[in-house]
Amino acid sequence: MRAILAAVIAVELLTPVPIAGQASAWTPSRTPDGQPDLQGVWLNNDATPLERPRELAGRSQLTDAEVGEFRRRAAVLLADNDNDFAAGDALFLAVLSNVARYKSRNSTAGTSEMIEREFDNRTSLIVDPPDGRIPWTTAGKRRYDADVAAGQATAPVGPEDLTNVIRCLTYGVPRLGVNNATAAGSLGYYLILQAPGYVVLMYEAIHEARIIPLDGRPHLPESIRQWSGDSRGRWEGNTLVVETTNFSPKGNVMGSGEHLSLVERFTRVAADRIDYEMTLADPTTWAKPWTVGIRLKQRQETLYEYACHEGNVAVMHGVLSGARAAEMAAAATTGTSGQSAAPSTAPALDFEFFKTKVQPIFLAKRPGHARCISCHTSGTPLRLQPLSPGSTTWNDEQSRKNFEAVQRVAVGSTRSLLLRHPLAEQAGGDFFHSGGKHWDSQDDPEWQILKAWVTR
Amino acid sequence: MKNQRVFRFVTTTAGVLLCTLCLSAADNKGGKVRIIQTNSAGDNIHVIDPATNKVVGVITGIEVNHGAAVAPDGSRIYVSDEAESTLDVVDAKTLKVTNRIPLSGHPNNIAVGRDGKRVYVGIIQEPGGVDVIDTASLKNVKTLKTKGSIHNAYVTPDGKYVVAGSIQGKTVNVFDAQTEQPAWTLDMDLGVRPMTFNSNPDGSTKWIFVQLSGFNGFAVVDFATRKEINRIKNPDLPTGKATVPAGSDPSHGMAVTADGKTLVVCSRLNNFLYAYSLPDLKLLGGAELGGKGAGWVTLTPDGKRAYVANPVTNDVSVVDIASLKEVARIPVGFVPKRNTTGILQ
Repeated sequence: MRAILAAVIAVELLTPVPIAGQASAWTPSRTPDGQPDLQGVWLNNDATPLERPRELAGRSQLTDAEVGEFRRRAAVLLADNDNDFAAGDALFLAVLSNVARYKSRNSTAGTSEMIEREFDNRTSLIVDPPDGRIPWTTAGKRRYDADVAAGQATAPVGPEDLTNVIRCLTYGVPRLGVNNATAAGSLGYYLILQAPGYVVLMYEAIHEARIIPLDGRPHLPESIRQWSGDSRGRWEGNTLVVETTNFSPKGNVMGSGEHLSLVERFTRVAADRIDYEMTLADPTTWAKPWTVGIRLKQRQETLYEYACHEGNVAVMHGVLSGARAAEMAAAATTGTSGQSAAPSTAPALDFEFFKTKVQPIFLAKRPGHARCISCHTSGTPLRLQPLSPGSTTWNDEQSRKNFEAVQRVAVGSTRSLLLRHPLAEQAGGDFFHSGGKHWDSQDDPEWQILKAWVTR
Repeated sequence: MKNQRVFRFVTTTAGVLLCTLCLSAADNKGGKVRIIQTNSAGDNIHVIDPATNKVVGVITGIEVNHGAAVAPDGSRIYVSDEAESTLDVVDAKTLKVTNRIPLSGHPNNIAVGRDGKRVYVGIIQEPGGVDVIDTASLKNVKTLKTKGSIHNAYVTPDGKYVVAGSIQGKTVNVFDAQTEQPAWTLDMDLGVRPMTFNSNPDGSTKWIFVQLSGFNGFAVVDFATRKEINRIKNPDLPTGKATVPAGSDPSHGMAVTADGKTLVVCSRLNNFLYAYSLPDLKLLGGAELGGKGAGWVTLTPDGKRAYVANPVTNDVSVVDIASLKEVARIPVGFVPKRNTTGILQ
C-alpha cells in the first residue's frame, strides 16, 4: 500500500495554464530513440471537480481570493481526522458548501489517509462543453446512474451485482470513475515508460498497464474487446496523441461501454508537469464529445503494489454477507437447506409469487409480439419447460424447473436481465433483446410484477 | 409459368448473374413485386411494395417466423415457423396460412428450388440437416444430412445445387439438387452464416460469398475448386462513430445485384450497407443506415434498391445502391429477421 502522505494543501497559487496542445515555450528533452521524454511518476491531484457545480454555473474561473478561501477551508477539514476520507470531487464540493464536518457513508477511512489536493482557479476539469457539464443523453445518464446505484447497493446478491471497481476488475480507461473518485488523489498515480516504438502508461491503482504502440498499426478487429480498449499512439510535435477504441461492453466509463471512443493528448509543458487532455465520444451516451483537462505533476516517488484483486476474500465475504444472511433466513422459514433450493448466487425469491404472478407473463400474448414461451423453450439461454400437450399452463413440477431457470436471470435485482432485457432501452432496458422489447415503460403492470418479484 | 420462362430466357441469353430471388424486371408482368419481411419476435410478416415503400399486406398468426421464400409462380409464400417447428404455407392472394408442415426440428432459413417443386429448410436443432418439402403433396419427404446443424439454406442461381451453412459445424454443405445427394463439403475456420452467389457467363455458380461468425466481412469460396480464395474485411468505422453492439452477427446478410456487378454486404457492427464491385471485390462505398441492426438484405429485381432488415429499430432501410444513400425507412414488426423479393400473383 502506498505510504500515507501528509494531508497538506498546496500553498502556491496555480494560475490558469493552457492545456495540452496549446502554446508552451518549454521544450522537453528526448529519449535515446528521439521521443519527447514523458517518463517518470506523475500524479493527478487536482482538487477541481470533473463537472462544474451548479452553484458555479456560468463561471469557469474562481477568483484568487476564492481559491485562497477554499484552501483554508480544506486545510481545516483535513486537519481533523474525524472527517471522512473525501474522494474525487468530494473535497471540492465540501469546501464549496463550507461544511463544518465532512461525513460520507461510502468512506471507510479518515482524512489522515488522504494526500494533498491542489486547488486552482478552474471550476471544472471539463473544458468543453463550455458549461463544464457532461452532455448526457437520457439513456447514457440512466446507465451512469445505475452504475452509481450499483456501487451503493446495500445487499448485493453476487459479485455480478458489484461494479468493476468494487470487484477490482478495472478502474477503467480513462481514469474518471464515479465523480472523479478513482481519478484524482491517492488513486491518481501514473508511471510513464518509453521504449522504441512504445509508450507504457501504468496506473498504480489497480496495477493496470496500457502498452501503446506508436508504429501506426491498425486497431484490433472490432470483435475483440478489452477492458482498457485498444490504444494506438502517435506524436504530434511534442504531444503524444493516443486514440483508443475496442472497449468492452462490460466496461462503464461515465455510462459508456463498448461505444466509447477516446482521444488522449499528453504534453509536457514543464519539467514537472504534463497537461493531460482527453476527449470522450459516444453518441449513445453523450449528445456530443466532451473534453477534460488534467494537470499531472511529477513526483519523485515510486509506485507501490496496490492490493486490489478480483475475488478478494475479504471484500466478497463482507459485501455479500447480507444476501447470504437473507438466504439463510429464508431457508429457515421454508424448511429448506437454502443450498438445494436455489443456486448459491440466487436471491431468496418467492416461488408462489413466481408461479401465480410471474409465470403467466411468459404465456401472455401481446399484440404483434411473439410470446416469451415461443422462444424460450429451446435455443435460448433462459430455458422454460415446454407445455405438456393440450395444456395451457405448467404443472407444479414444471413450474419448479421454470423457477430455478428464471432465478438465474433475476440475479442483480433491478439490474437483472429479467428486467432489462425485455424493456425498451429508453425506459431503462438494455440495448437489444432478440425476442423484442415487450414493455415501453417501467410503469407497465407486467414489468411491475417482475420487479416486485425480484425485489421482494 | 410465364414468369419462369422469361426468367430462364434472361439468365441463359444475357448471362446475367442473379441471386436466388433477384428477378428481372421483365418478370413483373402479371405479378406484383413485393418485399417479404419476417419479424422474428413478432407474430406477423410484412409485405412491402417497393414502388411505394409502403406495407401493403400483413401475414398474421406465425410466431417467431424466420425465413421466407416465394414460389416461382407467385402463388405461395413459404415461412419457417420457429414457434411450431413447421414450414407454414401462405396463400399469396389471401395472405392466410393454409398449411403447417411439421419439420424434423427447429428451423432457420429456407429456400425454394428453381422449378418450385421443393422447399429446402435449414434445421438448426441438433442433429440438424436440410428438410426437403415437396410442394405438390406439402409433405416433408426427407432430411439431407449435413455436417453440423443448419442456419441458412440456399439454391444456387442455376438451380443445380442446394447449399447449407452450419454455424456450429463451421461448414458449407453442397448437395446436388437433382439427386439430392451430397456433392461436397467445405470446412471453414469460423461458423458459417449467410451466403450468396455469383455466376459465370454460362450461368453456373462462380463464387459463394460466405459470412462468418464474429467476422465483420465475408469470405469468397470458388465453387469449382471448392476452396476459399479471398477474405474481405469491411472498413473500420472512422473515429468517433459508434458501433452497434448487438442485433445480429457483425456482418450478416448479402446479395448480388441482377447485373452481377455489385455485391452488397450488411455490417451490423458499423451500421452500414457496403457495396463491392464484382468480380474485382473493390469497395465502392457504404450507406450509413438510420435504422439499427442490419441483419439481412434483399434487392429489387432491377438491382437498384436494397432493403435492409433492422432488428434493433424494428424497421427496414431502403438504400439506393447507385448513390449508397438510405432513402426511406419502413416500420415493420418486432425484430425483423430475413427478407426476400418475390413476385406475387
